[in-house]
Amino acid sequence: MSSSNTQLLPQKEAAVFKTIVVRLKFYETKQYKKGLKAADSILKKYPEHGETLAMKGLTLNCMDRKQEAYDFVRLALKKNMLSHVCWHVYGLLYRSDRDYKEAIKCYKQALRRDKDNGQILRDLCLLQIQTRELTGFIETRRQLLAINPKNRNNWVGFAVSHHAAGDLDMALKVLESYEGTLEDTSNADYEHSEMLLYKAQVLEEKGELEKTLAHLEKSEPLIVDKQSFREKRAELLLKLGRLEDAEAMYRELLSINSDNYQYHKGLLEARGYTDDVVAGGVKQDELVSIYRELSQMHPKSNAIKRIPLDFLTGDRFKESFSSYVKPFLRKGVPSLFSDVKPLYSKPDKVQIMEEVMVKNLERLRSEQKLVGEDDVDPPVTVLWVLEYLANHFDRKGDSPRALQLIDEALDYTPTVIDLHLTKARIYKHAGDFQKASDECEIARKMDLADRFLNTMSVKYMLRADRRQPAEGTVTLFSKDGDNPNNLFDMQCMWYEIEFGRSCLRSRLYGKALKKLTAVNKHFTDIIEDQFDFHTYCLRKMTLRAYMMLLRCEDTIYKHKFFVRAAFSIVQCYIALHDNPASAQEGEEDPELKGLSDAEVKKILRKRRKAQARAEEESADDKNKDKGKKNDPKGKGKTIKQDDPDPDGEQLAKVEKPLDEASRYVSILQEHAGNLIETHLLSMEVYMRKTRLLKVFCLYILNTMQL
Amino acid sequence: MVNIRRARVEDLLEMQACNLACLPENYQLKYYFYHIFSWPQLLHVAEDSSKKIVGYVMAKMEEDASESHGHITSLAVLRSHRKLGLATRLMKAAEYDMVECFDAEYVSLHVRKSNRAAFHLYSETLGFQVHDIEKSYYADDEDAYDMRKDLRDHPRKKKNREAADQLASDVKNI
Repeated sequence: MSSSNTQLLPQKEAAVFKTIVVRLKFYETKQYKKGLKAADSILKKYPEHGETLAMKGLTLNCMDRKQEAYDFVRLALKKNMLSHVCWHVYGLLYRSDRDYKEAIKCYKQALRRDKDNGQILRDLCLLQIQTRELTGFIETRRQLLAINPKNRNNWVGFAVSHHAAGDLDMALKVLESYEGTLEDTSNADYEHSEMLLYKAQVLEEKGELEKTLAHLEKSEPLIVDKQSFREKRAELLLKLGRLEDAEAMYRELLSINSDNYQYHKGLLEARGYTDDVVAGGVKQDELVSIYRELSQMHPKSNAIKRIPLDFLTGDRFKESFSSYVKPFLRKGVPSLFSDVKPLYSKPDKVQIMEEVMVKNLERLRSEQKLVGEDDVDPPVTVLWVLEYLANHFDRKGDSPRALQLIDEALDYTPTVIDLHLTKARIYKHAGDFQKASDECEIARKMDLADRFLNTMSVKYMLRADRRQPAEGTVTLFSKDGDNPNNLFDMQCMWYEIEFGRSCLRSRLYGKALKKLTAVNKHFTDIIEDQFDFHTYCLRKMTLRAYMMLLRCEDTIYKHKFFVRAAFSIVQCYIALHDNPASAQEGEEDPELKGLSDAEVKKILRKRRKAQARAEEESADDKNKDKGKKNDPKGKGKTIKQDDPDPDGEQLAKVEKPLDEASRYVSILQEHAGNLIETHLLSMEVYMRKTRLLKVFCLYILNTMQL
Repeated sequence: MVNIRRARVEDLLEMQACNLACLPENYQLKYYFYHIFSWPQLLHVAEDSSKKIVGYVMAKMEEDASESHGHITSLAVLRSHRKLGLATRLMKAAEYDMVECFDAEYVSLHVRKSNRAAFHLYSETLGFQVHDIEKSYYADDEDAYDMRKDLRDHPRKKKNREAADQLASDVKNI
């Protein structure tokens, strides 16, 4: 039936058809409605017209009428299988549902009808890189370049496709051919500069260090990102053993930013002092003289003062530490302890630090002077010596002494907020989460405008399983217009993880899963977020950052936020498997204790009904409120649909909890295989799936590795 | 120790966490993406010895404006790491790259009228001046100071001019 003449529109209708396409670009409901009208006006006369049916489908899809959309587009294809437009639209539908595999198939069908269609090729290559279908991606990029070799993006895109697939030779060849097409390269513009630095990256990854260096030095006048140039040049000189040049380069870098530890490491390596030498305490004289000179050149640098503490030992260390801490103690820098914490891996240094600080305390008490000083110190100095020592003994595991010291500091001045935070931390380390939370709450109340204090207090409340106050407190900063809290929208993962873990401890598995799987959702979104940047980065030429993105996204699940959430999710599912009734009850529900399953169900049914009634009523109230208020800011905002499962009850009712657990376990094995918890949890899951053989094999494997 | 360096893509989640921990203005990760893929030179972090991000600056260029200028989108330092001069160091790093890579004429930022501590840092320590007041700039209707700092006298600026002259004369000689 789909003969070509039914698929050709007369001039008038063809014009109407175009308006549909135009309207689709406006992203407005009003325009979509007009688009639908236009489509219907054509379909009235030509009900068989495939491409109009497809456009109607696409419009419906934009209006969130998914099922109808698919129906129309499938009908369109039935009427006109040969139209690339119909196939393209079908692909767009799948793409909007994030079903990229199906979308790719559709685009390929569309390209069979119209093989040089740039728009379809561009859409296709986006999906291919997004799904890391690299062979197809290279081919599509090749076609795009063949169609339009004048477009710079097509060259760069082709090079990037080879780079992403690991073919550095081809990536380099393409970049060189591209350079050959450039006419005027005498202008130092940002995009060209980024391209030159990207080429250096490809060369370096190929291992051709000499060539990379030569390329960079030749390109220097055209590179505007001088800091990247300097960093890369310094690194290469060092690797190539041109130590004097490397040293000069690192000195230049330090003159721009003397607090970059990588530059210090580079400088010392160029002088022949590797990490072992620095940490081993040998060649101290030489190192001291380097740092004496540096400190004269950069008197304001923190790093230059701090680094000698790493390589000095014995009396020298003592003297250096003693003078290093003085300005911090006088100024009351709360991070002094965290600053020197790495030194605590050396027992002899711990001993010295304790000695110095204890003597400081004694002298301040007797003469109000720090050791080695003639002038009287302000009274506040003693607070920070006490604070330091409290941290020191906390670190050594002596909580009673730590508490005694911090209390003494608080007796002097109870109004110093940071001291309360230290005290809270000591309680936390001692395992007393309730007192820790109380203390943190004191700190928060001393400055309600400080979000950091709010965050700390909420975190501590959740550790103490004080979920209700935590919820109330966190919203003081997360209210956002009509939204009671924007923590989910803002991807606030620490809160979701801590809240979820607290629910897990209290055996509220539904609520726990609700919060913890939100973290999983954020990671899905972050992977999705790449999409726009496949095009954007090529246009902006920020190719080094783009390659970082691709690599980072490939290993995104190893991020500690995901891993932490996933561990707890698996524990929830295991618990749900072991005790299916726990899907509904929590530890905090004394009413349900000791009842039979049937009775529990009855009570829960009653509760649900009561809750639904209450929600209906409160929703009515809210609507009334809205009617009264004329909120100008609410205008134009689409009102979000209420979450149908706010407490995760549905999540906890999952059919096969072990299958869900397995899904997470396999991601963890792929991305967090270095953590012992991954394997312990895997074993827990497999044991319940009675795959004893696999458990046994894993056990053997792990013991072999460990 | 606190290390000051340029941010990498894999730092962004931690930067977001740092922002959520201490500032009222928050952004989705995609907004951090947008910054780093547009101006990878203008994001810097302060990280402690355990590699935790304790402060950051995220800036952008307003390239369409009549004068090319930078804008500080967000600057944060955790309360636990105050008084170390980290905010100053982060800002200096961002300003340096704004001038060196993008030849910025000035840098601007917004600050809440009520945020005295931040205002003091910008006006006293960092040399910003109030350029304007933006009424109801923030979601809660609070006004913002629109502050600016002239970068035409930035030490790096002179080098830019010399380099441009050098390049021009090289081209002439070819």
